[in-house]
Amino acid sequence: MSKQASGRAQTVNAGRPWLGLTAFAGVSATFVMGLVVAPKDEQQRDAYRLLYMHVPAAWLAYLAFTVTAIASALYLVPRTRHLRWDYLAGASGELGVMFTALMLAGGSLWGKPVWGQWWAWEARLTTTAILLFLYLGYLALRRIGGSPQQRATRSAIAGLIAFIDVPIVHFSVSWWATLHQEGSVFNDKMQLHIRDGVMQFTLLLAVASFTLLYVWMCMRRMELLALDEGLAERELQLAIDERSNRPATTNPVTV
Amino acid sequence: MCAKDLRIELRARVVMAQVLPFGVLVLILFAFTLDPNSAILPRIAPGLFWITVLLSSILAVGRSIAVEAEHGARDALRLSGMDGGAIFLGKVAAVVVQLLALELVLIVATFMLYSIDVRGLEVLVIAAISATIGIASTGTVYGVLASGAKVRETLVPLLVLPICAPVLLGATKAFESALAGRSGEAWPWVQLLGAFGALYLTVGFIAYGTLMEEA
Amino acid sequence: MSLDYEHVWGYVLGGYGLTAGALGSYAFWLTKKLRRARRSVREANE
Repeated sequence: MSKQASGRAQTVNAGRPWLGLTAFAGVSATFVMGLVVAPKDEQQRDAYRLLYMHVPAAWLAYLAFTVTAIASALYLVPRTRHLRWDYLAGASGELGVMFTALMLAGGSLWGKPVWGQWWAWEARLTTTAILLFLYLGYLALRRIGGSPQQRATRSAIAGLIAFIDVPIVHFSVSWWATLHQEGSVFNDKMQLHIRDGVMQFTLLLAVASFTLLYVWMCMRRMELLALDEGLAERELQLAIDERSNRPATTNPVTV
Repeated sequence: MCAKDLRIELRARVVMAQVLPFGVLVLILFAFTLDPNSAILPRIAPGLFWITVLLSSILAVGRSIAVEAEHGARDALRLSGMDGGAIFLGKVAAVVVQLLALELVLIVATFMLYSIDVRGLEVLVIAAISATIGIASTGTVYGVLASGAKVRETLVPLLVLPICAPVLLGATKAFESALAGRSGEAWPWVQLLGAFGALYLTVGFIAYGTLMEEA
Repeated sequence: MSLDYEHVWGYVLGGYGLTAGALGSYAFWLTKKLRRARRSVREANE
């Protein structure tokens, strides 16, 4: 049994070092390309370089929350109900919060030199801020305890509720933002035109390598969630056995 | 079910005895932070009113969950074999009734304290009812999701406030338009509120059955 | 509003540094915790 468990862990693990190494190499290359190799933009000069951090962060934030919603739905459908979907939803939600925070922070750092202010009450920005808090709540709800099945059901429902709120928030906020458009910080000067080949390649590399990094982190986070839960359950079992003075039933930790 | 919650609430009177004074107090405190003699208060009154309602609602929703936990009502309900969806609708109805009573007092207080002329009353009423259904539905779903948690009192606001952001926005804009005598501009926002309420009423109806079984 | 496009490196490096810091520390934390969890599972199953 114990061999089977470690064997299973190894099969899951196989091939992952390459994924991780490729992701890290890609992200490092993105940093070099974005900071040094890619040419300056005609309008924004060097400030536009934050694009190579901002675009992948935004893309992964939305991807991660979509994955959380899909995994939540898969858990709720009885035919596909498996804790692995709950681990995926949790791992992806956590990464989504991180990328959303990075998107907001990086966007602020970009906004200050280009717009002259850290923040603008613009539809997409405001929606993103609400999004961050929606999913911070989701993560907090995941940690309130209870059995794994309880947590999985609760958080799957919360994951779906949060997800369907996103378009409503966006719709209402854009409606609200268009009411006082005159103060907008956006103008044609802010438009970026990525026509240069090196710029396009760098952006593509950034999105691809950050996505690989997301996949790698998500898989590891899932494994960690599964292992921690297996260990906790086993400890509980040992404590129960000790209380009832029975010989310990040493079930192997399986994932 | 609705009647049961209301009866318990009437006996305990926590919402009326504590949440309502809290709401009025918040309205008074807003006046301290903003110059009460300038024209700013009437201008931003709709927003202040709805923030007060949202904060008070969270207290009232927390109360509604606590009522259930104290009386061990969950197990009794589960054993009674009632449909989860029906229980949900009953709880939402009870919360809606309480919140509407709360809003009635708070809106009168707002009108008097911030000296506002009432206009577009029918818009105000419909907007308030739609918004209240939205707040009560999301609050009740999240309430049961967070029930049993030691951190419930702090968790529920974190969950409910961002999800109700569109409600706050829509209700404020609807009130602003109506009070400014431009009821026509209020209707799109009222429709948004109605859609939000209907959506989360449906979601809660479906979700509650699953939750009552497992949570 | 005149924009000083020549003195933006602080913001750019800040953005890159923040991203590197967040992703790097998350990956580090994850690896450390995962290694410990794998070891505990191995010990528990022996």
